[in-house]
Amino acid sequence: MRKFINLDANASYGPLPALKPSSILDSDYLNPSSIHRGGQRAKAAIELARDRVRELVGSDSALKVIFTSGATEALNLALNFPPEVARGRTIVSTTIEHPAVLAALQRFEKFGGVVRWVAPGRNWEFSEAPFLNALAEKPLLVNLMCVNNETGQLLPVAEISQALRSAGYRGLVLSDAVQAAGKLDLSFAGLGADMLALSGHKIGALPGVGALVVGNRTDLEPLVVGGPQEGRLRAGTENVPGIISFGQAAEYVRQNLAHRLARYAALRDTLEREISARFPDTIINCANTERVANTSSLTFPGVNADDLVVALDLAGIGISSGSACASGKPEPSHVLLAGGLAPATARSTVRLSFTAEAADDELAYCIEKLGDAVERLRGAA
Amino acid sequence: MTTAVNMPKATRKIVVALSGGVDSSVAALLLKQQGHELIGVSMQVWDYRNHGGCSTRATCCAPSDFMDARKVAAVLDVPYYVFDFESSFREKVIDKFVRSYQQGYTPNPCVECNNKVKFGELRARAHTLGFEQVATGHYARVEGEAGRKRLLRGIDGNKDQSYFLYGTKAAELGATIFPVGALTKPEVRELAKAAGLVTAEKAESQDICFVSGSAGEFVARIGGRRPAGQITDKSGQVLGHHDGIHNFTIGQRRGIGIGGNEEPIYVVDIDAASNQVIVGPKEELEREGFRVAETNWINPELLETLAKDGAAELSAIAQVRHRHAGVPVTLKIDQNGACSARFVSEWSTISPGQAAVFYDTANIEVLGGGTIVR
Repeated sequence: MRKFINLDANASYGPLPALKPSSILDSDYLNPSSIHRGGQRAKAAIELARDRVRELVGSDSALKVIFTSGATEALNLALNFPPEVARGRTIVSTTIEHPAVLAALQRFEKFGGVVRWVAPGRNWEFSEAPFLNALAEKPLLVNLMCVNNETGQLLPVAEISQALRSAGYRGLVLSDAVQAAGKLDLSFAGLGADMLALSGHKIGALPGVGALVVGNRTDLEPLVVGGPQEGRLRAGTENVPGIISFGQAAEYVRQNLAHRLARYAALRDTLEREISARFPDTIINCANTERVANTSSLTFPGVNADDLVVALDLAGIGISSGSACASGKPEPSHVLLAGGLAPATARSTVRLSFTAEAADDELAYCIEKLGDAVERLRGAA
Repeated sequence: MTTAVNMPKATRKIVVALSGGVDSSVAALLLKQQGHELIGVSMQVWDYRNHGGCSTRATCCAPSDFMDARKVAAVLDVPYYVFDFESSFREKVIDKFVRSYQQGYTPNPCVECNNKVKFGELRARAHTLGFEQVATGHYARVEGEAGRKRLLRGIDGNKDQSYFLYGTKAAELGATIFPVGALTKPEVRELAKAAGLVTAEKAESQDICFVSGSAGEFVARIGGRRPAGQITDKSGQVLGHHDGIHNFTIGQRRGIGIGGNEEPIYVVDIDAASNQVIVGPKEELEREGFRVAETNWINPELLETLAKDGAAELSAIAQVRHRHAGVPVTLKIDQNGACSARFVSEWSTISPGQAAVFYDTANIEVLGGGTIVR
């Protein structure tokens, strides 16, 4: 039987073949807080992993890397403003963020804060103007993701943070860099952000680990209190194997970036070209914006995206409709709606996201099965 | 191994509806053992988080049951999906259920759910995915050659669920599989235990999966409370007051709120127009027969045969609610399929809104049925 093909890498990349299981599951590693050598070894392994993750976003040694349970926790930590801070203050954010951000901002509103939402323009573009216009309210924080998880769109984080700083903005800039890591040359300094959120398993580490990378901010409020781990910002014994795997994955995707990007582009472009040739009415969302190379958001008018997901699963291929949601409740994607798609169009949209390890024959198989499924679903409708 | 009577002959593509209970688990187990290509599907029909109610209870459509369904599917190596049918369930089952109660009827939502959702939406979705056969854990049997399929009661008299399935068409029966219909419940549990399925010892689900307390409370919460009104006897004499007709069912004896009678009193009628609940002694429940509407006759030839023979009447057994043994009736079926039933030897309490299902005189084969009207 054919190996299951992960065409849903934006949901989870799966453990990279380059991970070294023997060092991830080293039986010498005990509690990193322990004084004995079992603790020392684990602590050292974590600190080495921290360096690798720091290098993934540039190698400024002043950057703090706080390991968390994942990017959701990292974003929650970044946006954890207590009511006395939130009350009457403003956060500016795009409307196409991950649910982790949207929910954290709802909590900010509940605590008396105000959120100024910035929607994309007709061609998904984000201009500086709405961000600059909000400066009159002296925002506490401006948030915009680096790369959208559903469409692969690259947002102009560097341009907007630079414009904000030029206009005298002194508040915080947060960016969800989960889908940017491993897919572009990520530079904390270049983005001009104060905080970046990262996820381990989206770049091929084990699930259950993420990080908030912090530049110049000293007022972070921990979400989890207890022991003094992670600079007193995240209590609890560290996820040693997860963190080590994160370090290994970070190092691997950084060192192999160029040829992986070329591979991504080849895979995606071939698929988009062949599918568009077979179905000329296919809509490639964000085709005319800057995108990362591994993500394809395709609309097949008249096809129920959820049926397409099931049909491809039965063919041994994992894809997704909108963002991952196991509950079976298909709400049209807020990202696609924000980009101007009608609800019915959004419901006919699937996301294909490649791993760099996908083989040519796997790509050909995916193209064939995707095409056959679209054709059959249209015939059955 | 015990096998289902309607065991398919060759490998087929089958969608098996997994509720998270033991019956559908074993249905999947048997089909898997027969080597079919399966997908398991749980139907999301009602979100308890939005509507309150029975989220903590083990029923057939509580979210926790999906976890069990998922585990069973994983153990059997069957792909598993949750299909969202909430909007059609709301429209076709819940709204009708609430409206019906508010009009003084006692509806049976399981019948609607089977017809419209389980064998309507699910079959359509299965077809889209290239799966023609639908299997469920119902205790009922399908027998006969292609083109002349018959729907029969399940072997287990205590568990038989053919009553809920009268809305099926003969043509659909050919694409319907009830793998546990030829088994008894203890046999089903044995098979589940032997296969190590987590659902083997699971408690029975309730009759109406989305109602946790009383149906009346549910109706009031979803559709609003009906006004209070009078409880009277047949002659119109006022005996007390009720808190809304949606709280009453014809034939009901307990909880009427009128005491001090020497002989038990029953709800004998509900008059939605005057908002009155009429009570009386048991004999006032007696009717000569009843009419049904929204009928379905499983094999359409039945009507043709009747018409051709010029036979005006047909002898049958009528089951007028779930867990009713059935009583002999004489049916008069109109050309358009509508029907009236006359009791032959004994009468049974009739609750308008409930399904009446007609079986052959051996009380085994489902001929058809409909909704009891006033």
